[in-house]
Amino acid sequence: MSAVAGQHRARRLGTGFTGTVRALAAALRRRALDVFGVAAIAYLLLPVVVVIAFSFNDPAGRFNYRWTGFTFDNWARPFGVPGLADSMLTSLEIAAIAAVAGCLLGTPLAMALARHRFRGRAATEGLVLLPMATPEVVLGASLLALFLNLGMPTGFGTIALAHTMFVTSFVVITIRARLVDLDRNLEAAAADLGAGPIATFRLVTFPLILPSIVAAALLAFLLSVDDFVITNFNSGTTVTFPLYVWGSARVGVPPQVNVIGSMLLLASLLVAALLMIRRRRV
Amino acid sequence: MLRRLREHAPPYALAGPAVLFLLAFFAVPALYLVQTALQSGSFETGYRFDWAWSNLSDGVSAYAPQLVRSVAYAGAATALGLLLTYPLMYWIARRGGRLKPLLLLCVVTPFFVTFLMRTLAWQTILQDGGAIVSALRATPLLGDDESLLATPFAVICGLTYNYLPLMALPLYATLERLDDRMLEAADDLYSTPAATFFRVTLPLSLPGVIAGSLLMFIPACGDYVNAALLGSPDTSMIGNVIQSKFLVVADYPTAAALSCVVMAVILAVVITWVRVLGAWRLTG
Amino acid sequence: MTLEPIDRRGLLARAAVGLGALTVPGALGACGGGIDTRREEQQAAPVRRELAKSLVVSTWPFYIDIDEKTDERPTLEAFQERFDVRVRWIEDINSNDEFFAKIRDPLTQGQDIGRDIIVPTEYMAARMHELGWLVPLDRPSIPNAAGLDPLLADSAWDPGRRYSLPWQSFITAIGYNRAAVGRELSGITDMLTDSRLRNRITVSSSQEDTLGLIMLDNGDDPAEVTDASFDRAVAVLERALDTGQVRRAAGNDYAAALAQGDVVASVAYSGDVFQLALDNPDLEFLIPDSGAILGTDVMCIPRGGDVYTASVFMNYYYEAAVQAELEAYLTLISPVTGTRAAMRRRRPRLADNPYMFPDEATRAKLHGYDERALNDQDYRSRMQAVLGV
Repeated sequence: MSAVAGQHRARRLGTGFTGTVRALAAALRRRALDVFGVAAIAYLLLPVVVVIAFSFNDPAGRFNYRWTGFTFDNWARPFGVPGLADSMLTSLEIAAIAAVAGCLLGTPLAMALARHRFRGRAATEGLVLLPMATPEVVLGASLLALFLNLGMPTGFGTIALAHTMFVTSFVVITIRARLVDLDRNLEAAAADLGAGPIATFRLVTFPLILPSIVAAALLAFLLSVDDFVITNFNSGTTVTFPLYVWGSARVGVPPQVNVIGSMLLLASLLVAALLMIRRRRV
Repeated sequence: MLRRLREHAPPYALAGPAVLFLLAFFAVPALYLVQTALQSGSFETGYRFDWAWSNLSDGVSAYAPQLVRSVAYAGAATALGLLLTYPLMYWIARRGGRLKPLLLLCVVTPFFVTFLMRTLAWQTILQDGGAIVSALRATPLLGDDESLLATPFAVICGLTYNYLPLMALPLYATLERLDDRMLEAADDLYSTPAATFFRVTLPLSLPGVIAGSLLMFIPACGDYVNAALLGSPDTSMIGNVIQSKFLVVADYPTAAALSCVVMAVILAVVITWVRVLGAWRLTG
Repeated sequence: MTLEPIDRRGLLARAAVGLGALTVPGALGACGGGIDTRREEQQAAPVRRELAKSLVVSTWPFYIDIDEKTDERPTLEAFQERFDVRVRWIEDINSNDEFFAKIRDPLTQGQDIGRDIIVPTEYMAARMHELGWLVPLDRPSIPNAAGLDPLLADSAWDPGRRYSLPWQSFITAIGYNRAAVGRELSGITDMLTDSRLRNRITVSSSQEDTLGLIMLDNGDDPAEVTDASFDRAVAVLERALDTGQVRRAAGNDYAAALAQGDVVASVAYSGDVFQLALDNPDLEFLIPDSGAILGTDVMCIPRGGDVYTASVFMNYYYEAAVQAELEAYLTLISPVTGTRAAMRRRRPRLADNPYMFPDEATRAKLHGYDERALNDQDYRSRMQAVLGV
């Protein structure tokens, strides 16, 4: 603490006995907050630890509910359970489609909203924000109502469409936030140097927002892999990873599901950590 | 004229595809939902559109308990979430120092575990033979034959945990931007810590509180997975009813009607909440 | 995220747009009409007796023998080798209703679902047949069907078994932990009314299992459900739910709770309890004096499935030796009469298991549940309402 701040503190708390009491109280408050913070973090990580721990469980019967023994077997054969691999593959395929499509649709829209004024801009913003303000049950139900009334069979295609729809909103707000923060002078300088709008975008804007696009794509990918409710309503006979977990929860979730979940978690953590490091370096 | 077109075209050209897509797969389905809500019939006989407003009133009267429960559980979860996250994010934002990125990563980590697996983990944690229930049974808080699973407590617990990151991030954003000088000024004016909090910190962080609680309340209201895995028939929420009507009984009109009712209820709660806090602007 | 302050003019404008939007459903209704669920008339196509390269089966989890060490399925491997047909065994049926919901869209549009055989429970097969989703089996290619147990040979919805063949049957009754309960239970009503068992029991969320057992206890016949018998059964269940006697209505996950002791008594299936009892000898399966429910899952061919290959598959699984191998793992009730003799050669102790091969007295106590009640929307809604949805 600087000397000035120290003087402030002394003046605030007073000196002598009352000052010491007040200083102690302040220190206790700080400790209490520290303790609370640590406890809250522990609470947040508890289920995560449970998921990872039970991937090492050696269950007696079909049910991975109680801890019975430690084994590496599940990690050795993570795809030993039939159907799990297929469902994970389907999830990854759909997520890739949703991430790419979401970025292709969302990036131009973000640019339009961040850079231009046009008629209907407020309404467009509303349209983008509304899906995020709607419970998944209603989103899934309305999409199902659409497909039922149009006679479209539900399956891989409808899941991909549904996922693209709801990730687009997230992509738009992520990229728009970055665009708003961007220094307009850079683009102005490019224009001054004779670059047309397309060249400016290609050489100046795009490289600068690329990290955001990547982050948005990864967010979209994660949201898609994780989605259960909307998929449940529109999946037909296609099985994605969350649907597989839901189904197996009725009969007994095999530890291999925990293994796959842990792998997904570790991969996401790695990517998030890398993004954070990269951002600090730039 | 062509030049004027080219001048004005860019935003429409840029926004066009996405807007059309969202209209086609968000707005139009919403209309179809309303339309389905006004149909009548059954799976065997087929469904016809015939302005069946009774679906809405019948739905509300038949499933009022679930509607009330959904608002109550989601509200409780949001309140709990606020109580948990505010101090935590305050701690990270203002005391985190170099550990900030790591702590933030810890806060976001639950989000990286599949939604269903998080909920199943709570099933394991709250099970009768588990550590928590055994510990509580040793105290007078829980009787020997009572359990935590299949109670509203378990459902609210699950809802709180599952949607916590949605509250945490907006709160963090506002708390991080808090101007230190405001707090120092309050100190200089001999404000007690409590007064500083209630008269400076809290009002300044209000936008984050509003955004976070909305982001948490709305999905929690329509959730059915927590109630299905952690609850009992007595704790069913409106989401369970909608899921059952759509996917089990195939009573599409009632299901669609209930979905519309849920949206209306959420809208009402959101407007009231925002009004109560006296702020119409949310800045993000 | 910015929300502009809403002033009165803006509000009126938005209200106008909203009301305008309400006219759209009417317009959509006029051109769309509604959701079409009519079925098409089933044309009987001549069967091409050629084996396909592959066969796709949709079935329940844990419904086939598995070698735990190699993760292989012996009877399935043997079939694939003998007939040179690759079988995709997809365990995606976790609940009849959810499976029905999954396949109804393509089937009502007249498209196929990419399956050659599906294995729903009897009543769901009846419903699918009524909607025209099933195609007839190629009976001449299934000579082994002659070994079908007479108890299952004729069914109300499929006389002569032309559209379905039972895969396995099982008894639905009460599974309970004798030591924890402290006495012998007499039936489901006993379980639902003994206050010492409060909050330690589960029932099945399925109408035929729970209401069927209660009806038998009430003296009603579950094979002929009437409004009165349904009401009586529901009343008993509702009372138990209201007093907190029943912890929850479970699907197949009751077995986990029973195994761990969270729950001491439940509506249960014979195969599950037999397996659990191997680890925990305190668990017992009770067939009440009033009777128990016989459930059957049947193999049928959905529209678009390869009839000949599916029929050959069914014929293979109706060989007594194959059934014995299957039963040794599943410990359910085989639909084929020769299985007991084959089992005696293989695992003599199982051949005398009363739940796998019930004697005449027990068979007399087994009842099926009325399919029409299970498929009636009114009864289904009421059951869902009791369960809280």
